Parts: sequence; C-alpha cells; structure tokens
Amino acid sequence: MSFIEQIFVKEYDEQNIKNMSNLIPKIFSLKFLGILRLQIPISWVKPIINLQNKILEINNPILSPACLLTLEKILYNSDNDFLLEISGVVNSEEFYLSIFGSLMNILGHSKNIFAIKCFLKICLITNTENLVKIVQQLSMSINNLIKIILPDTSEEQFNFYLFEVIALLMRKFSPVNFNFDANLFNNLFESLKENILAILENNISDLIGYVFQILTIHLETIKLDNFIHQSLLTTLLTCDINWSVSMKYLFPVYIQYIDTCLKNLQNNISVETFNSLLNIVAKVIKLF
Amino acid sequence: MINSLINRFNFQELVNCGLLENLIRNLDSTCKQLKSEVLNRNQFIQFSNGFFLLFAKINAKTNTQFSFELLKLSCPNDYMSLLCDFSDNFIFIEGIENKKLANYFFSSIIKYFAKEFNHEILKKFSYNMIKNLTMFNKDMEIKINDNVFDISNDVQVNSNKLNMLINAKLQVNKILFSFYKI
Repeated sequence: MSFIEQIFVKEYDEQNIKNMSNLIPKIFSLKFLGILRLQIPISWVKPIINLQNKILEINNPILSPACLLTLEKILYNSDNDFLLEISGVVNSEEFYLSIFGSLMNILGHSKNIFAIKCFLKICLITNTENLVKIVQQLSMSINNLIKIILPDTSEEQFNFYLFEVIALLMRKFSPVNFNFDANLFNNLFESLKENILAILENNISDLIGYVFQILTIHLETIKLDNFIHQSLLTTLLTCDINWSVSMKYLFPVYIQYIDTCLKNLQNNISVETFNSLLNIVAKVIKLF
Repeated sequence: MINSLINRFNFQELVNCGLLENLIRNLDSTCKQLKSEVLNRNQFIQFSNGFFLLFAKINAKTNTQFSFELLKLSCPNDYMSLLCDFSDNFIFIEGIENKKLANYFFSSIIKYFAKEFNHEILKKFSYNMIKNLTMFNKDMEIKINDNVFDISNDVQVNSNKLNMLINAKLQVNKILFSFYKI
C-alpha cells in the first residue's frame, strides 16, 4: 500500500467525507494535492482520483468544490505517463459511470466552471465505446445545461466549455472518424437539435457563434443536403443584420459555415445565393 | 454581449486561419461548375462578372500581392484561363468604375505573373481585351511592341472607337500594349 493510501486516503472514509467537522484541513489537504500535481509520483494518481470520485459521489457541499478544483488540475496534466495512468483509471466501468453521474448531478444544480472543465476532460479521456453506453444520459444532461444557460448567458467560460463538450461528443460519434453507426451521430444531434436551434430562434447573440460551430460539424459529417441547412444558409445570407460591423466577431464562424454549405450544397446553389455570397465576401473584405 | 464575442471569437481568424481563402477557392470551383452546367448565357455572365469583380475589389481594397496571397490558386494558368473567360464578358461589366477596376486588376496580374503564363492563354486574353476596348466609341490606336507573338493582324485597330478607358495599359516583360486616344 502506497504512502498516499496509508496516510491520506485512509482519512477520507465515507463517514469522514460526510462529516462536516474539520472542513478547513480537509479542503486544504485536497488543494495541497492540486498544488503538488506536477510533483506527485504516478503511483499516487489512481488512489487520488478514486478518492476524488468518491467525494464527488457523496457530494459534500463544502468538499466537492475543493475536490473539483484539484481534480480539474490533475486531469489537465499533459504529461504522457500521467495521461496514460488517468486514462486507465477513467475507462474502468465503475469509475466513468460514477464520475459522469456525480458531475451531471453537480452541473444540474450549479454552473460550476471546474465541474464543466472536468466533464469536458473526462469526455475526452473516456473511450468512445464507453461513451456510447451512456449517450442518452449525456444528451439529457447537456440539454438540461443548455436550458440552464439560456436565461443568463453571462458565464462566458462555462458557455464555452459546454459547447466544447457538445462539439467533442459530435466528433467522437462521427462516423467519419470512427467506424460507428451513423445513427448514433444522428440521434445525438436530433436530441440536441431543439435546444440548439432555440438559441437561433431567440437570437441569443452570446451563443450564436457556438451554434454555428456545432452546425458546421453536423454538416461536415452528414455531407447531405438538409432542410435545416438550406433554410439557415438562406437566412444567414439574406439578413443584413448578420453582416453588420458590430457582429464582425461572428464572421469567422459564419464564413466557415457557409464554406461547408458550399462544399455540400454545391449542386443546389442558385444564382441569387451565389451573388449574395459574392456581395458578402466583398463586404467582409472591406473591413480589413 | 460584444465583450464576450470579442473574447471568444476573433475577426482576424478570417485571414489568419485561411477561412476567407477557403471560401474564395470554393466560390471559384462553384463558378467553374456553373460555367459547365448553366446553359443560359446571360446567367453565366452574371455569375462570372460578379465573381471577377469581387477579385478586382479585393485587389483595389488591399494590394495585388495580398489578394494573390488570399486567392492562391494552384497554377497561374488556371487563373489566367478564368480571366480569359472573363475578358470575353468584359464589355458587359456594369459601370465605367467597375470596368476600370477590373482593368487595373488585369494589368496587375499580368505584371506579377507574366513569366509564368502560357503564351497561348496570354494571347487569347490580350486579343479579347483589345477587342473589348475597341468596341467603345472613340478613335483609338493600339501600339504593340511584340517580340513574342503578333496579334496585330487579328485586331481591327483604328477602325473602331474607344470611349473612356484611355489609361488602359498592359505591361508584360517583353510585350508592351499601350492604348491611347488619338
């Protein structure tokens, strides 16, 4: 049994995690691991993240945030040996099921930036075969999160990581990158479509850029003419307000989307669409 | 709202990440495809003119080198053959300002890429342009200093009239085309 298991993990039995006494030393001991994340030996990784998983599962309201802070730092360690060890732990069935459950539970109640960052990293590390088993729970959880951020989009970092999670899952389930059934990708998109399109319908400017990035991935993957994309392209090109100077920060995502549309809808492009495109490109160039 | 957009999305990515370049390349291939598919001549002219006018605008707005960096077509001859197609339609460009813009763009292209152009293509382009220019309404003399190929016999000089494009001047390494009013 390693030092960390003998001295540290031992202190955190289930009773002690639930117990609200000595919270300051507990919090600092967890943060201490975060500070020393680059120095700790690899043999410590497994007991530490298993402990953190246990704390998050019990969801002590004081210890969980401190735990997320440390877990996020440990998961973002880019050392190869570290990543390999973490990947081994995360992909064990009992671990990924419980960590996803805990994170979804925390995110269902608060827009915790460390939780969403951990969520993204765990999605990245977890094998696609394992993600497939929980895809329904994941899409339900993401739909809830979109509903939570819609009324208040001021948490920019949180929004960014949430849409990174969506993009990552779409890429992981893409039949282009992996030999999975295309239905899996389509089902994921269909389950998220309503909430994603609601952002466009309600014209929530802070999130529109992310939506176009997601739609670009969708079109890149399905490579099919699709009613949503046809009508969206027409709206994008014909509404002048989309191309006003104040919206110029969204032009890169618009252009990337239009470019993908051109590649995929080339046979159906009309004279009007082509001319609108030329005018828009000319307008964009004038801004340089 | 704007602050969050500025933090997350960068307008300069359009050029830095090659997004605009990719789009223009795609427009280019769409234009080529339309050329072969669209049977209606007027419709093709509409596409073609709009497209090349866009190139001309890029050139006028920035500078020639930048616009070529942006356009980066794989081979200058491809580009030139597109210009040849366009020179066929030059007369249909609306407005004298647009004609001047397009003309300036042509001369810039030739100046930069003269050495790399296939002579047959260059000849066809020059022929088209001179033919276009002589369709205007004032007398014009075309002086050709031609060490490489001779197109003087193919063009009806002095017999047609030129209107406003008196500054048109095409300079190629060994060839000088000067167009001026008499």
